[in-house]
Amino acid sequence: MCKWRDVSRDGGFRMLERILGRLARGGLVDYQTLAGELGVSPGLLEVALRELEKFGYVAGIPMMAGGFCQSCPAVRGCRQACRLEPAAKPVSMWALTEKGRRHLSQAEPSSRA
Amino acid sequence: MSCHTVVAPAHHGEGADTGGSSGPREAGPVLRVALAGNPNVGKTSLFNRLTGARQQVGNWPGKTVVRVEGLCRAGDTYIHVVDLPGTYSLSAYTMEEEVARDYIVSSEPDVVVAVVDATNLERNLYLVLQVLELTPRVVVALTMMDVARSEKLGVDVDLLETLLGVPVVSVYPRDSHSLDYLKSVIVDVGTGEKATHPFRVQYGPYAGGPVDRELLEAEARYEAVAAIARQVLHERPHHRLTQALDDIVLHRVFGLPILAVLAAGLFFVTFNLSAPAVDLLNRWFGFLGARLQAWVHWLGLPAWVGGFLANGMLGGVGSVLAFFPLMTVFFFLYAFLQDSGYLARAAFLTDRLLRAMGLGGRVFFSLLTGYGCNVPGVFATRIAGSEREREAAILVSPFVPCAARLGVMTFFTAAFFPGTRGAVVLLGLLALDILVIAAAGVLLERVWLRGEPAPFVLELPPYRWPGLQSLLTATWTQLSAFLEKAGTVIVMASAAIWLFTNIPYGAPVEHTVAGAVGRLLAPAGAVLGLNWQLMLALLVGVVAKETALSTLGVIFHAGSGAPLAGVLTQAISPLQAVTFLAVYMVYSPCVPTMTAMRRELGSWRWVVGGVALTLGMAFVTGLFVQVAGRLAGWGL
Repeated sequence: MCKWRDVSRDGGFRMLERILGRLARGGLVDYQTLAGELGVSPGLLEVALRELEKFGYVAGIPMMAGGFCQSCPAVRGCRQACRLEPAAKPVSMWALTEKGRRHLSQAEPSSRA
Repeated sequence: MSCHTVVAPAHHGEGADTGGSSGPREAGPVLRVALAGNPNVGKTSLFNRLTGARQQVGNWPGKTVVRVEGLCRAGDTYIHVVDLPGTYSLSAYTMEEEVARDYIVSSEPDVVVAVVDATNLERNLYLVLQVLELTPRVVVALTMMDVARSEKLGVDVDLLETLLGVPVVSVYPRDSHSLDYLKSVIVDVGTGEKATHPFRVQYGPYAGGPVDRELLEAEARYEAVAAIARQVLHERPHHRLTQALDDIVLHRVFGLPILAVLAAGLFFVTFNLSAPAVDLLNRWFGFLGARLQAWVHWLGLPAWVGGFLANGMLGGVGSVLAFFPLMTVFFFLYAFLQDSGYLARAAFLTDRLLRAMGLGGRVFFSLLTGYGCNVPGVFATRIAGSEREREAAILVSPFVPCAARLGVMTFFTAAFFPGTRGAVVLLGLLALDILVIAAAGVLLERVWLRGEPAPFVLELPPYRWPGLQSLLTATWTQLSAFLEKAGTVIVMASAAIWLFTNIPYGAPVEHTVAGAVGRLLAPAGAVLGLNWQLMLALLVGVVAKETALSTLGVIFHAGSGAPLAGVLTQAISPLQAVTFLAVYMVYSPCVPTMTAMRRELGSWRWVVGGVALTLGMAFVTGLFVQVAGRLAGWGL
């Protein structure tokens, strides 16, 4: 059975905190590498990122998948393959939001390590 | 045990209405069962196998989410199955999650079957734990076990059952025995014959403070998921081919050389494969131009008509259209790299190089999306953390060579440097472009950002072998855009340039309107070693990059019989050509990118600043090439 832990206080698994902490360190990291650092599968990392997005800590953008077509001024004449093949797996990127930054700045330094 | 087909919704404890075609049947106990699971785990396939081909399809009350239900039978018991929307969690942030959660909580189904993909067990367990928090009557249906076995992923099903405290059944949708067994277990759990002791994540008292409760609860769930997965998985699942290839192509030492070799290979194949066809078309357009002038003379039309058709139209549009075979090969190979999943890795590797140069990685937005088109590259900066980061990323976006610009660069290079030399020159120019992106980034970082971090997590798509149809579609969409431009903008630009090079008619080109404009640009050109014709081509190219080549075609009378490549190599030195290409590569974003910049930055002043930055960087880049070339004593 899993015990409750206040992740801002002890050194538990803290997967979500570690993801936010890793993002705060800057730079670019791919799923496979970050999942390896966390000791989980890329699939679980993806679910975690989706949850963090829903909570408002990170923002995700589907890349190369027509994600910006609605606001694109050139959409009428656009011939990009991403528009024509929406079924192609989108490449996703995630970054910290203001809420995520605020959360980390309020958390103890250990959770940013 | 057998399955019936379509039914109307049944109610717990009442006889189910078989409806339509299944005909009358005896009344019996009815269990209401909900299928829950992540998207793409085989849930719908399992539902179809359980209920047959015909199902009742509608919408969830007040929602646009599709509701599918059906009926099957296990002995005397009828099982009314509701297929819940595929979700990754039950946090109720999306409509699908809300529907799934509400159904389990409010409708209290007799059994919830959590469908779990054995090849991605860890990801699926998060939802399973949430379901176990809502109801104890759960059966886990493990799908894709055959795939897991073939991938040598060991799942300890018995231990999983023990840890979760609910039955875990391996299901093979094509195997009726496993489906019958699943149904019997559902009946046992639903009727209470089989007791469950569901695993529950235990949350302690919430301490309050700055930490979000939802976040803490999710943390506890993830810890539990990881703990269970560690025990039941003999090997962590991963995409073996992708992992093996990534180990090579993203290697810290070999990754960049591999990228360089692949890029060189792409250009080498493009130039050499298309060279005979390009040469043939060039000659054909030259021949056609000469014939046109002869026909015009024969028809007794004024000489300027022949000049306009041969030099204006064929010299301009023909110069561009002659590179159609080259564009075809280039866009096909480009689409291959994009569809195979390598292009995202190329962006990743470029970013690594830029970070090694001291750039914080913020241009990665633009790199990843900008390789396709700079416009989404500008919009992608919305993910940037701070306003300043965003502004900096937008200003760097136009420096990324998009597919269209790369295509134009390719035929431009082929015009100046036919054959294998072109591949070498283009590769060198792209390396130079990376230096320009780094320089622009560092400049903005020093002046504007002052070291703010730019963090990202990136999902790299798995490798795949692109389908021919998809490649041909992608190639044609790029080519049709190219042809459309040739038929509109380039035709108009060629006509305009011909007009300006013929006012006053019959005067030497240096003394025409075009010559006068060119002379205005000459001082800047002199510093870069570029003549007024090349400077004029750069100016016209701001409207649409392809028109720079058609401008040269008109000015140098490429439609009068001689192929453009031959004319250019006689009129322009190799150093002038490389300097021109370097400036051309960097200067000025296209009009749609400018519009996107205006929209995102909220002011035309920013756009002017952005264009000024590209012009400044282009001037410095051209000067660098010119000075380096002169020092090397090359092409003078």
